[in-house]
Amino acid sequence: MTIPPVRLPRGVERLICFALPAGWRRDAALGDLAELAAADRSPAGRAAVRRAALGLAFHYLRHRLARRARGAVSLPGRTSMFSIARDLRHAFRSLRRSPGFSLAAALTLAIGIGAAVTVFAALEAAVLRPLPYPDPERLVVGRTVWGDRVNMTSSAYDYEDLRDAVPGFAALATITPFTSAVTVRSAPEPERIQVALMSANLLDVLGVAPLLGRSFTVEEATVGGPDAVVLSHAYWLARFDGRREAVGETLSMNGAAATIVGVLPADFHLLVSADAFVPMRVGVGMASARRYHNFLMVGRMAAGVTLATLQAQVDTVASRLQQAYPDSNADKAFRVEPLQNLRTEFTGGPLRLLVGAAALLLLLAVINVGGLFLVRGTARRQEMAVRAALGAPRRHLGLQLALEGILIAVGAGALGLVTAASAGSLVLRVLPAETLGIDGLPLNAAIVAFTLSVSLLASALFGVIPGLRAARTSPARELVGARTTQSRHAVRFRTGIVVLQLALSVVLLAGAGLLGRTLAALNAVDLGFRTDSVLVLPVQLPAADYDQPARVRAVDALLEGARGIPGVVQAGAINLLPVRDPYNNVGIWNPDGPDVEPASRPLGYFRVVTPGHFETMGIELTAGRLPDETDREGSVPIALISESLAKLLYGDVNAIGRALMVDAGLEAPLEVVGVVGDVLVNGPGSAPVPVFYLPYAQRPLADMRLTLRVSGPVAGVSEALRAIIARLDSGLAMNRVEPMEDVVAASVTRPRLLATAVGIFAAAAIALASIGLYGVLAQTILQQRHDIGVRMALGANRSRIMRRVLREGARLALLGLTLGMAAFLAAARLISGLLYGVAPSDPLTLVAVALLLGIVAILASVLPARRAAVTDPVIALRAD
Amino acid sequence: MRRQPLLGTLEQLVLLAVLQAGDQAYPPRVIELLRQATGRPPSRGAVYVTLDRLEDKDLLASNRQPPGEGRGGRPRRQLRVTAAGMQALLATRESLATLWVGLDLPEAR
Repeated sequence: MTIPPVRLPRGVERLICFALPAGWRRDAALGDLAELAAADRSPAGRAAVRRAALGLAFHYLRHRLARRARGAVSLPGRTSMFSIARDLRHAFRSLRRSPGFSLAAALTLAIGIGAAVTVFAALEAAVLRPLPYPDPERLVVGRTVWGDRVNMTSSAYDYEDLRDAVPGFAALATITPFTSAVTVRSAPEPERIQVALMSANLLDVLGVAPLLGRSFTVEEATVGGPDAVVLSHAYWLARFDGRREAVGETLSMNGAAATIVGVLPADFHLLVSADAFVPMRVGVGMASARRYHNFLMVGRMAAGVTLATLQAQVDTVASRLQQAYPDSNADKAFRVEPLQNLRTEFTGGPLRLLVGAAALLLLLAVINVGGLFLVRGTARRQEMAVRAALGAPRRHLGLQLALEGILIAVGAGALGLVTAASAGSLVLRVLPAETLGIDGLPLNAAIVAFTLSVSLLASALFGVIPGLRAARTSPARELVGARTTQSRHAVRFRTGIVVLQLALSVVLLAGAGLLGRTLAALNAVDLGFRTDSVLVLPVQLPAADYDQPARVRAVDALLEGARGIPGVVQAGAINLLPVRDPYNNVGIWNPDGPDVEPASRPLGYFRVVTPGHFETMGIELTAGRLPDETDREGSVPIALISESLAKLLYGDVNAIGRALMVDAGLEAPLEVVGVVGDVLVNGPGSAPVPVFYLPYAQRPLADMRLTLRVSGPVAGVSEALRAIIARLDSGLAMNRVEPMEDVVAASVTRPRLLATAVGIFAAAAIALASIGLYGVLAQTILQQRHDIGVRMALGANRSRIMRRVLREGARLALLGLTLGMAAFLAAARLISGLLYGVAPSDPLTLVAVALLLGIVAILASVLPARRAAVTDPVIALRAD
Repeated sequence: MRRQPLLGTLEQLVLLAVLQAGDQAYPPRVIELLRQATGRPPSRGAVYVTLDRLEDKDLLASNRQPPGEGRGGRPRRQLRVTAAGMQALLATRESLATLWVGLDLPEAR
């Protein structure tokens, strides 16, 4: 019987041809495999062939690698499969013999790798990691667009039309990307929780199953339907101790009882950190008009639909809406984008900067360690020369040095991972971690793999190149003693390295300096109100318990009580604080002016204040009067406006007595009775915006913030306030009394942390560079000892010798500075978007950087210079 | 006199299996014999590498034989233990025997 030949799988044949040395024996081995394949043609047999081929390839590759690495073995016949392991042991011992060098190299490198890994971990979490939902690539986010203006949020009505009319959406859901405060009464003591709105289908769209219970039903999401609430995992744990029976219980929210229908899983997070979610009901509150844009649209694309098709379908619906609702939808379009974009939108700028800074620092560290290795290589050239003379092949000597480098790099990588684990939280706060929904940077496979590759790449850069240099040793020259000329080559090489290091640290220093100046500028901005001695306290009157007159009475009583507290000089209240609550803007127009299309009406920030608020906050009245007790319900509806609003609507004409229309459910125009100074509603770094203020008695809202001006110590104020609130209504939630200064400081947290992070990078960079500078000067002096000795013997004085060394240091610093400044100015574009109040080429910063570098360079040069100056000519000459 | 190099365990096993296989001493047959002798299939790759190494040390020789059936026209590698290989085996056995003298190990369970 003849056995028909079997074709070996292509992969098997290629693998064997790759792994085994060419020749007929390889053909024979292939033949053996073919025989094996022919004997058993079942899938199991084919698998056996593949396994056999893999085993063959593995053993041969290992064998060949070991052989190649073994190169230096000079005794014929004595072979070992484990020569790499032996070389590693040898390298390890050799490093242990010089612990100072090893430690310095590993620590230096750990700084660079630590920075790189930390930033990579953040990058991985913020950008690279897929969204934690099934088929994340089919998830999209919809934005509302007016020409160049892109809004993250959309209107509830537009959402419904898109959801129903665009076939490309398998489903479309919404969520508010912000929360509102709600008082929960059923707790042992009333508390305020943060609540977000979402559509009933949000969880389905994302593919998230509730941990317990369910999401909302369509009835619950309809006006007049039963009230329901879904709890966040954290709130469920904190408030209900993680009891499963919590589902089905009721929660008293602002006086209304809502049934708890579900609990979200712990890792659920979409832009907003809320304690609880309630269903969005189209027709009420934030979803009560097509012109209110409060909802983030999140959709899942239907199978087979591309983003382009979907966009085309959305465009069709958008133009139909433009025609149907010209009042609200003129010029309004929608844009669909991958949901993943949301992450990069918030983190992109700082992250790019951090990636750049970390890359520079890593490069610097690698260069530094490369310099260290070069010195070591130079110092060991004799050893290498002896070994080369005894017949060790050059590549083996190089391998030895390279292995030492790899060991250092792997050690540094491990240290870097530890650094990253501890520095991760800083980076997360720079990136607003809240929007990413991550509270830590746990190590994962991607991070470890990145660390390993960075470490190995670094070792390739700093270990292999000096290794090659050292291995290029000429034994004859070395043993005869042509030391000085060779060393000068090395010094020149290292000098170049030091200049490069100085340049890199200049770039980082300049970046840190500009971010620091930005922070200072932000802190120095005049916000239009005083922050010192001002305390704020949110107060929420549940709408169900307090009708409008009751609210006015309650707030009056609270303010009267507050004014009676010793130390309180002024008291008032406003619905939304500047800086912290930069929202709630509506269309405004001058009813006596030319008609403006509703869609093109300017927006004004809608604020409600009590008498006393402007005085408390120190907001200046520039014309007319402040609100007072005469502005009650039933009296002429009035408004105060900010200067920029006055300029916008009334030009330079005096605004007092003019009519103002606002798009806030008011039929009649308001009479402008006063103009007040501009307030930076959006915080430091923002431009003044138009604001209008309505008196509280004419527009009593349930949710207010008391503002108090105090003199002297504030210790007792908080307690006294709490007592007053409890006396008024023991069911009111207690909130923390906060200094307004803290509210403002919180708004510059990100710039501050970014400046801190880059500052740390820059400090590490200048430290590394100064060590490098010191090293190269010290080595130069060591090599010029003979020269210096001769000069001194001939009568040169010490200060002259010192000057010479200092001059060399200054020359290198100047070169580094010039190079660094040029590089920085070329790359300034990267940072300009993160600056405020300072230009990328800010001369003050650049001069400061130059001065700092000069001082550091002098410090790094003084020690070697002094050492040179005290050279004893006799000893120096005798050494040769 | 040059000392005989001692053989590793796999080297011994492979050389002995080649001897046992006689004129059928092709790698697959050698592997089969090793499997029967040790009770578990040896790593194919390790055996091939050992064959090459033994040949490098002149303890083993191989001839190129015409292809048989089912090999897709590829040659066969017939193995033969060289005189040096025999000597190495004997020397190894002798060393082992010396060390075994007088030892009475309890039966392994």
